[in-house]
Amino acid sequence: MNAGDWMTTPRFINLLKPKFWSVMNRIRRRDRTTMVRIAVGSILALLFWLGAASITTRVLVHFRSAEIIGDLLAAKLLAMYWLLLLSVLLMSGLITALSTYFLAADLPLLLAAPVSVSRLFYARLVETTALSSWMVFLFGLPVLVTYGRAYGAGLDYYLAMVPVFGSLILISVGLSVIFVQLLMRVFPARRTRDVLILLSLVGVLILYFLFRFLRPERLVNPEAFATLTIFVAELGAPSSPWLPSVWAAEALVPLLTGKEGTPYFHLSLLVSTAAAVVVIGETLARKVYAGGVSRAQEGRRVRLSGWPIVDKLLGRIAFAFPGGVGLVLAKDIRTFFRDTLQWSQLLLLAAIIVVYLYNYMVLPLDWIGAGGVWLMHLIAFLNLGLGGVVTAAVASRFLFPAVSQEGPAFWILRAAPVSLSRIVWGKFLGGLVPLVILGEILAVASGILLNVSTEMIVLSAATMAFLAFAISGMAVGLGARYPDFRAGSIAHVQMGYGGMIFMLLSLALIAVVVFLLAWPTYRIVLAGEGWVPVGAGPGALILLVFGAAALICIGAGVVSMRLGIKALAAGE
Amino acid sequence: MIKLDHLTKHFGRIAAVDDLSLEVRGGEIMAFLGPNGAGKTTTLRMIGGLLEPTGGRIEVKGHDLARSPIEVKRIMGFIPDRPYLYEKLTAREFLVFSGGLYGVPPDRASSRGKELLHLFGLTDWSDELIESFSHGMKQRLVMASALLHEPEVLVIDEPMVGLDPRGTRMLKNLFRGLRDRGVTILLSTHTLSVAEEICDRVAIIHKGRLVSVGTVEDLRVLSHKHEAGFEEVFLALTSEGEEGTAD
Repeated sequence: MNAGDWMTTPRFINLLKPKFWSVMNRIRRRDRTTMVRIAVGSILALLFWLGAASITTRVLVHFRSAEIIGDLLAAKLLAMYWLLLLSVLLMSGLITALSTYFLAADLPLLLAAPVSVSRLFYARLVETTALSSWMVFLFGLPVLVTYGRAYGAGLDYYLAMVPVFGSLILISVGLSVIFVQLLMRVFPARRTRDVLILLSLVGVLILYFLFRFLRPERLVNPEAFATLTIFVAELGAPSSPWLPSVWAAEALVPLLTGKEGTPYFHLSLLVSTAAAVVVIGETLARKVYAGGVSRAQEGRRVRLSGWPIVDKLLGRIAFAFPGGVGLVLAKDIRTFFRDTLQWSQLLLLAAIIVVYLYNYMVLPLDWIGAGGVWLMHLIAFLNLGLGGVVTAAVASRFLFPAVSQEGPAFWILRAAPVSLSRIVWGKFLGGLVPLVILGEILAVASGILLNVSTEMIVLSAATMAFLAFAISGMAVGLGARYPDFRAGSIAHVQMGYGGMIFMLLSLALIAVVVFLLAWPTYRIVLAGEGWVPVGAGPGALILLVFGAAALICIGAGVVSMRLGIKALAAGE
Repeated sequence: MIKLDHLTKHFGRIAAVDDLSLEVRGGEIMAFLGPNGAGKTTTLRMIGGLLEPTGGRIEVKGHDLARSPIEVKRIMGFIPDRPYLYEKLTAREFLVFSGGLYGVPPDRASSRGKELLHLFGLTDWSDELIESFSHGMKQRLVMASALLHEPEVLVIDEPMVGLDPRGTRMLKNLFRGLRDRGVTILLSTHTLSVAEEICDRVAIIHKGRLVSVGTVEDLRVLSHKHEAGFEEVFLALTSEGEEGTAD
């Protein structure tokens, strides 16, 4: 770029103004969804901060009680923590950079304008940084502040946190931008997006499994603690001098503990590397960005569901159900499996199931002793509630957006001679079947792992089936009641006002059902173990309570569906 | 064939369509004209069953749209101004899907879909995802899908937007051919030459109200611009209360 470009092209700050103004306008107009999101987000963030601070304090107190190696352990944990943050930042940076640099809807407008590549690069860098680094503040700050408080660190520790954070964020976002630009040389944008989504998801899964399989609950078991400290000490976070996460730890630990070290050397290493990464990114952008953006506009071929056998199968489904229901179902399946952002969530779901069941496998049964049978049944009963919550969370991700997913193309269904009611019930049925299967896996498999009686397993399975019915109805029904056909992504739909209402109502329903069933379950377990027979009077009451719970579930599902269909038919 | 009876649509306090009564005769092409914001799209979306009127009635081939929406939609093809489609379907899949919604058997949808894709110059794109289509190609695909079930009534919002000259010419011929086969067409457009060239009658609305309806000659007489071009006639009929008019 020559010097003249700087004079004639818009300043990069100007390129950020539309984003800033959009946010300000939404806040100023107090749009309901934004306000709910801000309120719920703030509460969740606060709860998370308090939780993270309390856990960190407990862990640090534990570690410091181990004399000699206590501080070493705390430092290692901090280095591991920085590595975790760096990985999370890299992953979110990759996806965000691809979207802001190559797929954003406003790119044609900007590219058609006399905007230099460098300015666009910096504007997008600021945007990518803002979008992908908020989580570091959310996840990183409480832990670091707790460390500071636990060690009574001075002001220099807290002041150093700012450049450490800033540099680490810039390094990871800058590296993400460089990586994405290089990927764009190889793949077209949409394929790059798929590759990155999968890479990120696999990364998240690995971290998730690693964390769970480390069994952090052993920290509270004094017998296991001794072996764990040795384990952490031996594990040793990667301490390669090339890793920015190590520099971050090296910069902060001496300021934290007051022990010897080279904090300012590592701080300057971080800052200068961040600057270098940004400059390299910009130089690369000037060379390859234009070509990459051009490739980003290329289409892609149909895979998987374009195969004749899949085509035939979906064709059968399409015409197996009358009134357009099958057609919409087959269309939903096709679009689901062609959108990596959607189908890849199934991997996450599988991981959640594995870890959920793993939790029951590693329950410390040997600690329980004589009251074991009771406790097992109690856990199995409470598991109903937990299973219900997992089912509701899954429904919120996959079923709640079912109607909104029609997007701006919803006019096709409205203009067609099909009954909207049947279409929405079709979406309900399409979601109910997998949701029941999921609920039953959670209820039955955990019952078997807990070694509870057959009566308890049957009872859990039956309750879960009714809960799944209610949750499916509420998800699809309330999704139709509060549709968002213009949402940029499923996450927006899920996190909107209707999504919050769905989650709150389904949690309330689960609580009511679990509360109602507590006494009958207790009596059945007593009878099952041969301790107290049920008897005719209580038996009738038990049936009545079960009937009431079933009716509540069916009612919640059906009423939500009717509300949704009515609102959708009247909606514009 | 299409009868609008005191049709009204309010968005909050704004009357987008205000007491509009109009009749489109069977087998004619009627152009629905008006300046931006006149209420054309709102009216067409109400006829298409996408919006519910605040007041009034819509009748298509004797069926009340409010009472028998399915019967009305079965004989109608609706083409909106912005062709949003399912981006992750291919053109061929979309046509089979759309045909299915209108009760066209899959074999028939497939064979007729092939003909229509050929007619609209999309044969080479039939197995590509719609997300890679240009605006004009999406517009052609929506047209193809609207014709798949051989509707008796076509309601089209801005059919020429995004089409190249060849596409425009093809569409004009297509509309004429459909009219000759008895299909009723109501189309809104800003391209006055299209209205003048292929439409039997023209209805002009302004600020939600019907200003005038008749043949192009009738409107010339009505506007007292006997020798003027149609553009001048249109401007004269829609000048009342306009801001920013040049003359």
